[in-house]
Amino acid sequence: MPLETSDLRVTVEQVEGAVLLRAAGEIDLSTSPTLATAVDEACTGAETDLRMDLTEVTFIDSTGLREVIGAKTRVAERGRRFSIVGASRVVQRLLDVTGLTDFLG
Amino acid sequence: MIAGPSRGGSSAAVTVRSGAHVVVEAEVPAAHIDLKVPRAPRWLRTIRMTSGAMAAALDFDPEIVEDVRTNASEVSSALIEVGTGDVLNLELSAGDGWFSMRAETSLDDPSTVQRDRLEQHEKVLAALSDHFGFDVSDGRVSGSFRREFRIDPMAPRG
Repeated sequence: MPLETSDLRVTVEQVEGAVLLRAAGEIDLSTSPTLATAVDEACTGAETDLRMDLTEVTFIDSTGLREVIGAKTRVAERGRRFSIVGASRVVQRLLDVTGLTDFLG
Repeated sequence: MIAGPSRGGSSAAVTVRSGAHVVVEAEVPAAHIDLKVPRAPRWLRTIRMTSGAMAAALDFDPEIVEDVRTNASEVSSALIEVGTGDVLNLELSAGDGWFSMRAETSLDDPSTVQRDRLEQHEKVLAALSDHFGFDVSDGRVSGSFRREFRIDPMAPRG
């Protein structure tokens, strides 16, 4: 079941060996709680890797990045792997300028 | 001032050399918008739309427009997080080769400002603006950024 606000839609699904979280729309201080809830859902009870698809994200700022970093931290604490499997141009640009591409890639 | 300029850049006035004389002309914005919105996250999109539309109306390059939108979101988000006022006041100005924004809101107790909250926003502002800063004083917290860029004199202007 997707989690969504008027500006962000997040889906979580089980794929082979991992949970795939897809986000579409804008991730900022207003919508990041929706992403956080989806990460909670993805991490609860699932001892699998987490993959994040941000291909359809049309805006992200440091508040959104904070949630993405938080997701990686939570997954790493469980000994699982985190990866971004797709990033839109705006996401990739922010990852590049903040030096987080390798850390979150 | 609790944060300073980042990438450097020109001053807020244009210096024109004319023969033996140096004339300093005041910087006149081509556009200026005052915006007053509730200090709440749901208004960030309106702030981004307004700043982005203003930059686009001045024919700024799409990448500059995106930088303006991101910087506006960073400054505004920081003030929404650390401020305590009901209202966020913003001043957007732009001219040939520059865009600036200043925002401010009330602050009950300066000691409650979480430095790490500002640092997160400063990291992006340092990368995508030429000047930025946050200031806490006299019951107010303010933030600003300025993005500068070269204009291609051969490019068609609208």
